[in-house]
Amino acid sequence: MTEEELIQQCKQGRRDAQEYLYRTFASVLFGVCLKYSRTRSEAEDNLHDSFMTIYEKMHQFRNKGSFEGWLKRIAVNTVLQKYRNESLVLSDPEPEEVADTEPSESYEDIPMARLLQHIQELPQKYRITFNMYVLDGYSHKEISKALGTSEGTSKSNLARARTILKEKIRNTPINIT
Amino acid sequence: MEIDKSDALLRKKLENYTEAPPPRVWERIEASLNQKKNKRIVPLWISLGSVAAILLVGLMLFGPLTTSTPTRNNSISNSERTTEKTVPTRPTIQDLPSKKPGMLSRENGVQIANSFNAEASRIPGDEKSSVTNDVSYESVPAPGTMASQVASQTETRAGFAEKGDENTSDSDQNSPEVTFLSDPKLESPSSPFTTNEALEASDEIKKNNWSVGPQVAPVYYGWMGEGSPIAPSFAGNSKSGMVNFSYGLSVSYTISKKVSLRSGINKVDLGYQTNEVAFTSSFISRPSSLIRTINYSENSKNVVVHSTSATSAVAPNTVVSDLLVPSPEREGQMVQQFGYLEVPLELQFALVQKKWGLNVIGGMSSLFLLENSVSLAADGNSLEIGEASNLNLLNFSSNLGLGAYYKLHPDLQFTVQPMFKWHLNAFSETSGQFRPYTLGVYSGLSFKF
Repeated sequence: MTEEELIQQCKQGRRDAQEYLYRTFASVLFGVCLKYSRTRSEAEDNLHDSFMTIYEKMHQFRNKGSFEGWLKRIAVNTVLQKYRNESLVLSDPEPEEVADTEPSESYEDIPMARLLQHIQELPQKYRITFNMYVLDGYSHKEISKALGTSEGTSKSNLARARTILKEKIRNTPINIT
Repeated sequence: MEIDKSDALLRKKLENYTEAPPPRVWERIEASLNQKKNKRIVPLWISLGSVAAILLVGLMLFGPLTTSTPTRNNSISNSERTTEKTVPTRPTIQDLPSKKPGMLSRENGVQIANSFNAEASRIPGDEKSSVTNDVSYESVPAPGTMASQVASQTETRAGFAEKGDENTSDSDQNSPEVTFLSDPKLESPSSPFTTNEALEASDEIKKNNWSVGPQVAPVYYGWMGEGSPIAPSFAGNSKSGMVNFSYGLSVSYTISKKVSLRSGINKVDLGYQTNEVAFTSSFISRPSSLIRTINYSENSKNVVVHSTSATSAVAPNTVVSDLLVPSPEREGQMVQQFGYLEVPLELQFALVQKKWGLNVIGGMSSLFLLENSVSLAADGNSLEIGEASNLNLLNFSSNLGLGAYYKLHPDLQFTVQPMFKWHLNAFSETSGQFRPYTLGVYSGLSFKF
């Protein structure tokens, strides 16, 4: 089945196509959800909600641009919408001041699971800002629009996210693999 | 630029990060999709049912009032009639075009006639004049012709197709209503335009608008698709529908010569069994070995059930089996039974009306859950282990069927009605596709009164 056929059949609401779509893209979108969520359980909820949105909005996909990119954007937007609804984005407790440090070169030494955990442990607005800017390439303008903040706040959140992350990485024992 | 460098390192490491989600996520998505599908269907039937219920209540409340409108005689003037007939014009099909009189005018003669008729029956004096003035007279037929048109049009809508212009009496040709009213053949009690004569002549018939009678039916419970309302591990198992009984009281009200509204109340028992099931007991009750959609009774929480079907969607030991089960297994069936109080609301259209008759029936039923059990059966013994937690307390079915009758007496009929009922939202969640239906052959007696 080609991607176009799959999309067409999903638009018709065919269950077998919907399942095929899930089997094909669930791993990619679960990766996105894991990066944007606090816990695995929350990531599963976000993955569920993302696919429900995808099935519902499938008719809006006009075969312009990457289908996978469109799916990823829906996953990110679903997470953002959820956090906006919960009014959590701006209500994180302020973290303790962490002194800015020299950037670490040790990212490659950190196991993937531990790195993911560090990102998940970031305060909500920092995690979302960091993910959107560093990992998914959104601009500060887009992030500030998505979170309802100013570009300055977005830059500040990113700086704080980096600082906290580096501190966490610095404190990670090197021998853990 | 070191920050950018570390960002690039992180991006490289994480931007294409993928991980397979656990299987339960798809199960949840599938359940949500099923639920969504049902939700889309149910409101339509709720609204249709509501309309039908309002219609029934309307008929019960206003129907008798309409037919018992105090005496009028044919000698009263046209305007008097027009004014006084405002009262009984509410719940009728004929009233519908009068909702937007402006929209109905000028289109053609027939529509203008309808508009005129409707307005005339509702608006006294000046308003009537203004309506008629608003109408282009070029296209309006002469009063006599219009009367005939109104008569024949309205009769056709009301189901009196055979009646035509021949029923229009000369003396009444000045008014469409009078012409219509004077038709002694218009015996429908639901007609708001019925004359005294017609009322008097049809006293006997009006008495026979209601009918009531007991009915009983063997009901087969079946389904379409492959799935299980109990657990994904039983989706691939073979299943057998059971034949139970439905019994109750049927009531119907004759709306017109060919159309009746039916309701009533039935107790209906339904059930099916899942084959290729093995069960045993464990010394320790473990939540992991319990089926999520069953509320276990206190003394059944140590019962462990799993599927022995080779085509089971999920391997038995991943969902419901207990690996530490010490005692030997027994193979048998899992039987799910439920009882409902059914309140149907259906329209019946007559195809043949002689000594015997044939009707086509369509509508919906509201089903209120009364009984609910899940049991295990093997070698002629059975053990009830609890009840399903995913049965909706109220669900709906769409009904379609045929009704045949034989008149044992003018007021007594023997009826046989094979009915197909598609259950729309019996379960709040199912695994796979499990779309239940029932097939029943209802037979009974019907007394007219």
